[in-house]
Amino acid sequence: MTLIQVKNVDFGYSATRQILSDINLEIAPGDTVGLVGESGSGKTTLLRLLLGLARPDSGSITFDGQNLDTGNRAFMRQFRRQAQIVFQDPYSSLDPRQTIFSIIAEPLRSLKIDGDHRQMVAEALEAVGLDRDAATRYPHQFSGGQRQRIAIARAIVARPPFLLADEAVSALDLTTRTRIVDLLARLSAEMTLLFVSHDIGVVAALCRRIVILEKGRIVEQGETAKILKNPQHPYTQRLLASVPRLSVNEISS
Amino acid sequence: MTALLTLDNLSVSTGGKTLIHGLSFFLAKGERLGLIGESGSGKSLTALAATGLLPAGLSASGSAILAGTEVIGAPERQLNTLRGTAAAIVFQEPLTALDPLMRVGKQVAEPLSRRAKRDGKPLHGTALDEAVLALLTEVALPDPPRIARAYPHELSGGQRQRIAIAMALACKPDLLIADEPTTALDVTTQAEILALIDRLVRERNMALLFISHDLPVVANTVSRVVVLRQGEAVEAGTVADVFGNPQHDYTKSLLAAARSFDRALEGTP
Repeated sequence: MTLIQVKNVDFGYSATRQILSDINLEIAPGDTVGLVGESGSGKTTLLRLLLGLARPDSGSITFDGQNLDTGNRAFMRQFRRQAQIVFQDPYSSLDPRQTIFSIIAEPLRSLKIDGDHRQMVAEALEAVGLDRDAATRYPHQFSGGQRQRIAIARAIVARPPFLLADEAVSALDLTTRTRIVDLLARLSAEMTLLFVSHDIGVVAALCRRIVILEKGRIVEQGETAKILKNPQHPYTQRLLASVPRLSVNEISS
Repeated sequence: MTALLTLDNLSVSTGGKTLIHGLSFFLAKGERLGLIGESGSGKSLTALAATGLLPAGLSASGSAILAGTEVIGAPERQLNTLRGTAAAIVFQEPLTALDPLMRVGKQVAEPLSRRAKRDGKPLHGTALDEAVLALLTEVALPDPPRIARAYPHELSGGQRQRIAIAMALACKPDLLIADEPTTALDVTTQAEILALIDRLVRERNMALLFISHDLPVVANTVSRVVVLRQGEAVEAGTVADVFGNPQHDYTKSLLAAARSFDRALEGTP
């Protein structure tokens, strides 16, 4: 069973420069997958393809067995209910002039989802550990970590089976970051999560599988535990060696 | 030990709100001190106050003595000479720290010629060009003549940060202040820049004030740390003491957070 299948995908924004080459990737339903790469590796571009915001030059992407055809409006309408995203910067991803209720209910409105929106927003707020009263307030009244919780509440309010997160904890302070990672770990029990990050430490803490992207190519993928223990590709080895660690220092000092 | 920078009961406030409360620490010649804290803890403000660079509207009280000169309340003229000889700063984001319209070679040449003039040995023409290239070589940039002719946008983030470091070095400072110098960089680039800072500080026998929220980075770069929280020092001491046996709950929570990712990488959650 696969939820997402990417087969031999190539992509470039211009004909002269290829951004992604020969991407092959499968995501099983309920899995947590971390996509790791440095700036310019093509992580965000791959995410855009998976969201149907761009179309591969060649190869195919299927979602739940159906071709992710950006031209098929009926399919896309149904697909948008299935996949939601959390962005990196909660300061720019929340409209400062809307109340938290209005921000979180936005997917419900645009996806024309019936039901008691007040109740659904309240439940989403509760799921991310915020008070129901937050709904009447505005983004500037919240800290960075709280804002990211609001962005996550917006992403899960329509109860999508597939959640994507693009560097969702990179802009947060260390202690806040661990709390948001815990929240995502809890939420991922009920949905499929694709977590994109340059920070392999965060991915290691959150994801069961890991995909390493370098210059638009997947150089290694597999179970997180296996890759951390025995990285095969020189780039993965270099990436792991570059991460500063506390423990190393404690042993030497 | 001679103190290069001594903060004594330094406070910074704006419009009745105190941002830094009575901060005291000292930094000896050739010593490496880390300022740790999360956003809003006042770590960058501390560096700005210590070099007299506080933005208008913020006022400092107490004392900050840099290379024997009281910075708080000193006239701008005096501070201008102090900065660049006593201390130079490398900021977080090299793209905004560099002038986008000036070739980087020229940007490095500016502090070089200013420092040379102050030393009474002015540099011009080819001698200055050669000094620029020597400096670019020292920060391990490949093909210095090509890089010197490039504009900031033509360089990678790591290369830009090397340029910013070269500009700081051009001042021949006794104290290098690095404010989150690798936060905007990829991990592999970060490792290279940290190694570069480590080598340069050692070779030139500079003192280092290293500001960061990243505990593992700080632990591997400095020997002593001050932990800041909301403008107050909650704990200070050697890296081994503070990280090995933290006293304050805040330090403990920071360390627990950093360790959780460390452990995840070791595969032992």
